[in-house]
Amino acid sequence: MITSDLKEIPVSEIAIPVQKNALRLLVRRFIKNPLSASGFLLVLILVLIALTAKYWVPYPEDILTARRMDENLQPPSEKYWMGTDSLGRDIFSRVMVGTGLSLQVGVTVVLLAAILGTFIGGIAGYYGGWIDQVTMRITDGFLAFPSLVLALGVAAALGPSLMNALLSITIAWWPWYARLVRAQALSVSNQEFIEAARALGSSKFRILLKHILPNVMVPVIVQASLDFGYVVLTATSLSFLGLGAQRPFPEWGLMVSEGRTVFPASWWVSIFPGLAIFITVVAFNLIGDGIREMLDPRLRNRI
Amino acid sequence: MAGYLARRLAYTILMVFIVTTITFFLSRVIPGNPARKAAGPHATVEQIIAIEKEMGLDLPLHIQYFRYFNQLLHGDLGTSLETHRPVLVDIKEYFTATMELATVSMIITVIFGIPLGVISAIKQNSLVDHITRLVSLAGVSIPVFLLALLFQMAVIKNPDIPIAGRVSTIISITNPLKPITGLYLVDSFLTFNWPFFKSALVHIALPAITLACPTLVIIVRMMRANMIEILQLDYIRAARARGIPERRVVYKHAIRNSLLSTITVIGLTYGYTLGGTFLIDALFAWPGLGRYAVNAAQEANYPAIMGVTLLIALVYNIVNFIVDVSYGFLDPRIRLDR
Repeated sequence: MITSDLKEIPVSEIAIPVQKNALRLLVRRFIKNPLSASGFLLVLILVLIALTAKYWVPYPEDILTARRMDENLQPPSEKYWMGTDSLGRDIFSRVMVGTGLSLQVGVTVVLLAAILGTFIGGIAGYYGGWIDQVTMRITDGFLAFPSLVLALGVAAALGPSLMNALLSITIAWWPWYARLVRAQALSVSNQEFIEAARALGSSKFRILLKHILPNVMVPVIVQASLDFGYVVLTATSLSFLGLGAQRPFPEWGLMVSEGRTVFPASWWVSIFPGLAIFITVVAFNLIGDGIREMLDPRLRNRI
Repeated sequence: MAGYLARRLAYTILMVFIVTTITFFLSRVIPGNPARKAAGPHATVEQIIAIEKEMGLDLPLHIQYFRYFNQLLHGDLGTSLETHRPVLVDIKEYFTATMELATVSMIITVIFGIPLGVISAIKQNSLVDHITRLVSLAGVSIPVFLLALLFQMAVIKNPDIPIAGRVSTIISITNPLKPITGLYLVDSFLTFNWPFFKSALVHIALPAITLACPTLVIIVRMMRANMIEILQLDYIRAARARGIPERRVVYKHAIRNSLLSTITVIGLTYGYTLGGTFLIDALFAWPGLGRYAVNAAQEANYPAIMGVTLLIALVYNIVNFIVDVSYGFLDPRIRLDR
């Protein structure tokens, strides 16, 4: 019998290899799935571009304000791979450097929303009672706005800038995490090890921080990976509407909107940054789908 | 059922209350000093103080809050800093334009989304299914503005498909519309104004299709997933075992139950649609709330922005209430639950 063999070994030593195997299994499932594997590869390329673009793009001076009015609105050619915009800036250089901006936006918003949501949801789920009721009704109130509309309203109230767009998307996004964490915290806080901690005299706050939060992190990380694409989409939408990044930043949504005045004659000004957004969001959605399938084999036959 | 209705109504009212509280704080707390913004960049200190008094901004916050609520209950969304007219009067036409666009787009979503999801599920792993899955992956990831621009590029050579506005200017002069509801399609239909109807229809086509794409994809995914799950359930197997033809199993037994959970998603996707209209307004020169709100945002016209935000949240909550109630009617389990 296995159990009798295990009796001699301390619990901590058997627990770890089992977990490692499970993790390895999950990672293998993730890599073997062609969808998530290609998503992962795409994201890797995007990160690489984001980190290095400013060193190798053909026209680094075009990223912000350089202008060559004699070469404006050139169609894609060997010299300018994605053409030039109305100030004669090389669109390829700007799109490549813009990658970093979009990824930073995604990371920042998802991180802020997850932290804020985890904190609020954790408190609601653990303390329960009226604290839970009040917090969750307020959370629902934020979800009672269409998210883009709420983000737009907040961004407009704060004034147009990339920083404010980030804040406003965070305000529209944290409630999802609060709900998720609250449900998790609720189920965790009924388990025996929490009771044991309480019996040992741990303070409520310590239990929340040391025992409950670590146990809700996995669903939060999964949710964050699923959200990333949407956050990038929302941020570029705000910039497109003039409520996000401002000129002369090479932000993709802003670049699409700048090209609108010369569209469709000079279609390349808008279309290439638009495609960059599309590819980025596809990459993250592929990963998100892959993670979902990895964790829930029942989903494997679905989209 | 009465209990379910009452609970849902109470919840909706509570949500509307919280939503208004949020917009109040957004409009009063965040923007720094609304009076200074209202007074303009060259105002003197005395002028700003006078405007503060006029707007009631010198009062304690809780009194401002009660005044704000009182105004709302009287149908007053505030006064636009730009036009100095009540926001509600300002946005009347924009509102109907947005509602018309959102409704047509929702109709397209449902009419195409549900059958596509069903086909994809029945013919699982066939070519149709693979194409549907690929397209829907692209559909959730494509920015609405890129989609709109691609559509516009595709039709630019065809003068019959307009890419801007709500109706042709010429037709609106030769065949003027008698306004009843403010919805162009409905009004022109009711008054048998066919040239106007046709013009309004071709104008709304492209914006509505563009707006429908992201939500269509969500409905397809949802419907497909539900169908696949339900087709594996025991009662379906039992129906098949009894020799009921497959067609009948799908239509009579599977689709009905898959529709139930898809309906709840329709309420949720309405939020995407309402948000999406803001982008469509900018892309197709559609005279909707989005255009009004974005203009207001650029002018730092807070009452106008908050009025629009609140109004859209109200519509969203009412739609979700209706969806939940109809869901309760369709599914007895929901009514009896708790």
